Amino acid sequence: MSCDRVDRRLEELAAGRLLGAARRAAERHLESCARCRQQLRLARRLAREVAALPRRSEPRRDLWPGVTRRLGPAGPGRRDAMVGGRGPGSAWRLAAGLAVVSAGLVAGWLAGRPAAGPVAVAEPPAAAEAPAAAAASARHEAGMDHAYRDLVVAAAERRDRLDESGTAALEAGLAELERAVAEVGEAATFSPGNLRLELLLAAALRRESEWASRLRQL
Amino acid sequence: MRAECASLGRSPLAPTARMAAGADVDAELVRRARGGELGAFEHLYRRHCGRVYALCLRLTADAGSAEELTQEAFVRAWRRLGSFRAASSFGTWLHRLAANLSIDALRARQRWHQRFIGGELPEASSAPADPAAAVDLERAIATLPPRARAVFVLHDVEGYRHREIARMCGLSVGTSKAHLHRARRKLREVLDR
Repeated sequence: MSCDRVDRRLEELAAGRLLGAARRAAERHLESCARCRQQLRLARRLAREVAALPRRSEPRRDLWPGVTRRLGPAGPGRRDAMVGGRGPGSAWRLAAGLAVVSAGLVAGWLAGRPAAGPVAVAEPPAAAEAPAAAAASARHEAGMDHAYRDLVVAAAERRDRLDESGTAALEAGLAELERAVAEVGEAATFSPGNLRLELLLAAALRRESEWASRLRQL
Repeated sequence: MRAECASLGRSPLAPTARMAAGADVDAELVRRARGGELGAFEHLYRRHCGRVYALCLRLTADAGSAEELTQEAFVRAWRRLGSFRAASSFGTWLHRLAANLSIDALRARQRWHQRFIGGELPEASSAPADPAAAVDLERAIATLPPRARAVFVLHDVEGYRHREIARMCGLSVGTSKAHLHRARRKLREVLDR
C-alpha cells in the first residue's frame, strides 16, 4: 500500500475500522514508513481532541432579549414575525418584496398558470428592467455566477416548448429574481457582515437553484 | 442539565435515562410553547442555547455571526413549532435548523463575494498568531477554509453523514469527502507543529 492510500484511510485505521487485507497491507506499510506512522499518531490525537471538544459554549451575552424582540407579537407557527424587530432598513425590505414578486412570477409560470401579479413591493423598482439573457451573459463573462447562469441556460433550452405568454412570464420572473439578488447583494456591500441580509440573499439564491432544477425536470 | 433536573425535582440519572428524561422535558415544553406560552419557549432556549451557539460558532468561526445565527435559529424554531414532529427530538430538529442556517450564511457570504467582489473568499491564515496556541484545536478549526470547516464540524464533531452534509451544503458526496480529507490533513499539520 502506498503512502497516499494509507493517508486516505488513516482515520479508519486510527479508529480500528480498517479490517482484513486492507488493514494488513496498511500495517505492512507502516512498519517501513516513519512518516505514515507519525501521521497515524496525529490522526489518533486529532480524534481524541475532537471527542474532547465541549458540545456547549456560552455566548458573550444573553441572546434571549434579542430573540424576543424578533418574535414580535406573532405566536408560534406564524411567519409574520419575520419582518418584525430590527432590520437593516428599506433596502432589504425592497429586496424582500422583489423576491416575493419573483417567486410569484416564476412559480406561477412553472405551475402552468398565468403569472401572478406583484404580491408585496415596498416601493417600485427604480432601474429599467434589463433583459435576463443579457444580464446573464454579462455575468457569465465575468465568470461569477454559476447558479444564475444555470437557471438561464435551463430556461433557454426549454424556451421552444413555451408559448409567447409563457416566455414573457419566464423572462420577467428571471429579471425580477436577478434584480432581487442584486438589490440584496448591493445592500450587503453597504452593510458587510449583516447576517439578515446574508440570509435573505441565501434564500434568493436557494430559489434560483430550486427553480433551475424544476426547469430541468420539465 | 443538573440545574434542570433539580428544578424539576428529579434525582441524578444515568446518561441514557437522563437523555430520555431530557427529551420528555423538551416534549412537554414544546407542547406548552405551541400553545403560545413564551415562558416554555424561553425554557427551551435556556436548555439548548449553548449547543446551538457552539455549533454556529464552529461553523462560522465568528462570535458575532454565531450570536446572530443562534437568535435567528430560535426565532425560526418558534415560527415553525407547528411543523415540528415528535419523530425526532426537539434538540436534533433545532440543531439541524441552526446548521442549515449557518451553512446558508456561509454560502451566501461566499457567493456574495464572488458576485460583487470577484474571486473566492480569502482563506484565513493557517498559521496561528501565537505559536503557543498551535495546539488549540478550536483555533485551528477556525482557520480552515469555510467549506472544509463546515464539512469537518458537521462530520467529525457533530456526527452527520456525508450524504446529509452533501445535501445541506449543496455538494456532491465525493466533494464532501474531499473537503473532510483536506480539513483533517490541515489539522494534523497544526497538531504536528
